[in-house]
Amino acid sequence: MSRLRAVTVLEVATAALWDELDAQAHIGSFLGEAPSPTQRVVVDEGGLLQALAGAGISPLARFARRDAAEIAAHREDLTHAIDALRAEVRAVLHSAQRHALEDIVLDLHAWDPRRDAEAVTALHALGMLSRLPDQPGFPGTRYRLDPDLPLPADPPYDFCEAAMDETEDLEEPGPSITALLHDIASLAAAIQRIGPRLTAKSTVTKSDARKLGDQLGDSSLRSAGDLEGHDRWGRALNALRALHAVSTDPIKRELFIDHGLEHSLEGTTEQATDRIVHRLMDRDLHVVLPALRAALKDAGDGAVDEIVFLDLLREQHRDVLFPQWDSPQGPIYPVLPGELMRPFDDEGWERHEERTLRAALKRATSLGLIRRAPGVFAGTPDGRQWAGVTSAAPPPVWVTSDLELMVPPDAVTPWERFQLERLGTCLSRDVVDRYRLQREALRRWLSTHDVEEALELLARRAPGIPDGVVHTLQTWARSESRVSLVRGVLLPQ
Amino acid sequence: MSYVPDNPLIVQSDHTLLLEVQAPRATEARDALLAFAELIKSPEYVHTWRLTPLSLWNAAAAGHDADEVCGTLTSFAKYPVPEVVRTTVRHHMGRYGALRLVQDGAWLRLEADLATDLTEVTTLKDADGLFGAVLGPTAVQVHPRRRGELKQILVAAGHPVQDLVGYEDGDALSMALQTADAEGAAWSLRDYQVQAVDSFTSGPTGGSGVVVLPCGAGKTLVGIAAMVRLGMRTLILCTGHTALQQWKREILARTTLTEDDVGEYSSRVKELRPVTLTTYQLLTWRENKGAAPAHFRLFYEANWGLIVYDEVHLLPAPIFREAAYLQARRRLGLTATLVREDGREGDVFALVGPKRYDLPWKELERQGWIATARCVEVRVPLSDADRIKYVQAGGRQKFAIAAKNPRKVPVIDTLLERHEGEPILILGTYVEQLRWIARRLGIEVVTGTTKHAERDDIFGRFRDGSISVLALSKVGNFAIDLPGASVAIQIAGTWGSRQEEAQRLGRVLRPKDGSNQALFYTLVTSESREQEVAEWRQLFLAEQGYPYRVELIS
Repeated sequence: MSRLRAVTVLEVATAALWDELDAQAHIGSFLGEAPSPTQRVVVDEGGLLQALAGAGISPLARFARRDAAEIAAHREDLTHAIDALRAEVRAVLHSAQRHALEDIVLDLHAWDPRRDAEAVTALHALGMLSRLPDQPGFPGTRYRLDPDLPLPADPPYDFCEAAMDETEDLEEPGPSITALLHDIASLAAAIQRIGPRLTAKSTVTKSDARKLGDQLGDSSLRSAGDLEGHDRWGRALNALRALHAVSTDPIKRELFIDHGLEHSLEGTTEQATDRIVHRLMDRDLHVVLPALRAALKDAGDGAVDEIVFLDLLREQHRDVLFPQWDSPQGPIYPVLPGELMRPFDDEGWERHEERTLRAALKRATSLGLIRRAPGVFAGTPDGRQWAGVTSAAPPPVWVTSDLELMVPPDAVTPWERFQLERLGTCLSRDVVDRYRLQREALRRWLSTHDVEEALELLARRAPGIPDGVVHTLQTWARSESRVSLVRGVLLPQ
Repeated sequence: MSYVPDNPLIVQSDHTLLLEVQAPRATEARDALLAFAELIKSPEYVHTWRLTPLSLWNAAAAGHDADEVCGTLTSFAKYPVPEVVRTTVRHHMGRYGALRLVQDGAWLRLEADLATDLTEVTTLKDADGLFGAVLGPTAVQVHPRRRGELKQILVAAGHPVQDLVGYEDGDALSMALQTADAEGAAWSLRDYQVQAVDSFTSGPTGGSGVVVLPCGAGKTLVGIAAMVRLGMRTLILCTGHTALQQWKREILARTTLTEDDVGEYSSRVKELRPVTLTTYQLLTWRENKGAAPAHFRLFYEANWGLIVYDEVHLLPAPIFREAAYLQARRRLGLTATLVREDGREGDVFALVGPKRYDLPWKELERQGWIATARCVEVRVPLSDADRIKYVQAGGRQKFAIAAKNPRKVPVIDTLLERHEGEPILILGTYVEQLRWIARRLGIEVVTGTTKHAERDDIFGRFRDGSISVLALSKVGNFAIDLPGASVAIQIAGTWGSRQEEAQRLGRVLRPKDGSNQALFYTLVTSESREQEVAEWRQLFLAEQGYPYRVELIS
């Protein structure tokens, strides 16, 4: 396979523009080879930008992206390869995927290093796992999973026996995590747009907080200018920080959004909720989540008997938290060199697993997924949605010819919310949220996506898009993309 | 109540109402909203309405109550109605009637349900000097001369006053409606016209207010019937000479009054008779810029029992001021739309009166009293050369360039061909553009400078079918009776005037023999200021259920 290099290229809408650009800005000396008639590799970006600015040209800055077809083809190859694996190798791979956090897995968590060594070697050889350098003082070995691996199905659980009617002493649901997700999406889009500056105390400046209020369509934030002190948006900012999705540029002292957030919000509302729950829940509790989801699903509108749930979980998936290692004395918990071996028995379950599982239930309560009473838990509306109990058809989003979007409750996923807010500004947050598409927002959108994706985004929830809106967005995009600077283009060395 | 997907309405907490026009009960909901909300915009899919204090006071004055309004909202709502909206509806509708103006000897008395309300209004800066003696915590004296001024100020401050003082009777005038028209055919008022007159004259505040009916629905007859019902000396204010003549013809044809009873107070003659007709233009005429209107004395030269304001949405500001002093007289406003482009709907409410009667245009269409109309917006692009001129032009100039787009001319040709033989009106705003088109097509044109006799002759020839195409400037917006016209082609309009759009559609709404169909084309330059403004112009008609189909010309 040939080696690749990442370069920045200047791209024009039509090849005829090169002469015009050269006449206006004399840019020839800043450009190198031509990968295509409309692209030239940039050899001096600073000089090029200065020359273009001198001629009053502001190129659209874009980032090259992996081709979706390439990703799909790779996923398909992996699916075939997984199907061809022996059952025990596949089991190790799935265990690794279930215990992984952001595609990194620790061997101790996922398999028996001796018994499963051969399977690990096979996965390594297939490129599905790659070993990461050891970290001094860190027990075990870390592996990176191929990010395109298809997710394994959840283990088969049956918690029907634990289902019961809701009891009156169940506590009230906590704050909605789905609502928080939408707020995270909205605030992240607004931060991307505004790039708010921080004060010496590391709080967002008053003027930028007001700008955020404008962008978010929130008059109270607009008038108060205090993001951290704002009930709703302060909470969303805290969540973004807890997710490590927002960082501070140390030079400009501006907040910026990590590109990984978009990945976290992807998919359906249930998938995004699941991903955020994983991000906010302690790592060692992640493996419990599929079981919890299955229990809520089996309970439907009812509740779950906690004792029966724990018993059923032990019967059906004893290794839910820890893999069972083999030893001459019988099955044991994973053990580090020099540690005492602990038998993998019922007493161990009560001592280790049950305690951890109760901690997981407590965390799920604080995340607004379940409500608890002594010996009972039940799903909140969010929790039931997360578990797939409720799945009503979403109401439509309306796009009108005056470039407004009207988004009713539950009409979009958090990812769609994030993208819609990137495309416009929020006019009001109410029963139905209203947005207006804006040219400047589309310009920013075009740095990572194309206009057809914007139209596809609008079309996926709207009963129709007026011709005028399509025409306007396409005209804006054509005009903005006349000259683009594309970063991260991969060319053969 | 939770989410009801099939319902058409979303009630926002900022008091806007979003109506999903493709939902099953959207038409029913729109008709219900007309009684207490006003339309803000009407693009595809979702129309935006708003509850305003004025829309709610008008609803209260027309006999609706807050429970009924909240019930209507709930019955059409997709999502639970926000509590703040219910509170607002109750608050504003509760205010109508909370302050009452009544007779108190030689003085008037302003009464309040709550002492706090009275304290609030008596301490208003604008109301300083309007009040006399305090009669208690909930009553205060008001000088009769300040009656209109007080109502105007209190409406602006959010406190509508229910005026229960009553009226001074004018000189009695004996008259009756004829039972046959000029040709001898039996004739009577239509049911809705009787209802409109009943609504105007009945109730504790009967005798003042506005009747809203579409063009072609016979507002003039409602005015005449109200005049006959009251049987008093009447002053009728019209929009122009042609309208004045039409009123006169109708009065003579429909009532037992004779030429001697009906006078014309115009630039030509100054007759003061039991029923006197005049124009807004004449009344507001002044010798020079600083002078007072010369003919305002007409209001006081006779003991009028009723003043009729035709097309009340056009009432000029000086007449508003005078109207404030005429509160002891019965007054009837007639209009097709309460929309005023100057935003003075509150003054109409305070000084002429609340809406007394309103019938959706589509309801009249269903009953067959007006023609079934289709509206088409034809979008015409600019040529490359005109596009460059357009881009370089300033705001208003941009609009004019778009309105005068020469590429509209071939579209007019196509439309004339499409409707060959049908009576067609070409409606414009720019006189030179209209004249040029008229010359090119060899058709008659009527503008503001066309002499009255010549106008009457041209209109007569259009009515009898001698000519089938006629170009009209803004003079054709009001009260011109050309009942045969079935197609209107609007080539340019006056900026964003919603009432002009409605009036112009009204030109073709008179019931027709046969299919009873009418077509209204509006030619708009695509991707221009004119297109943006067209959306605003079409708002009122959209509110009345006339959606525009868009045709694109490439």
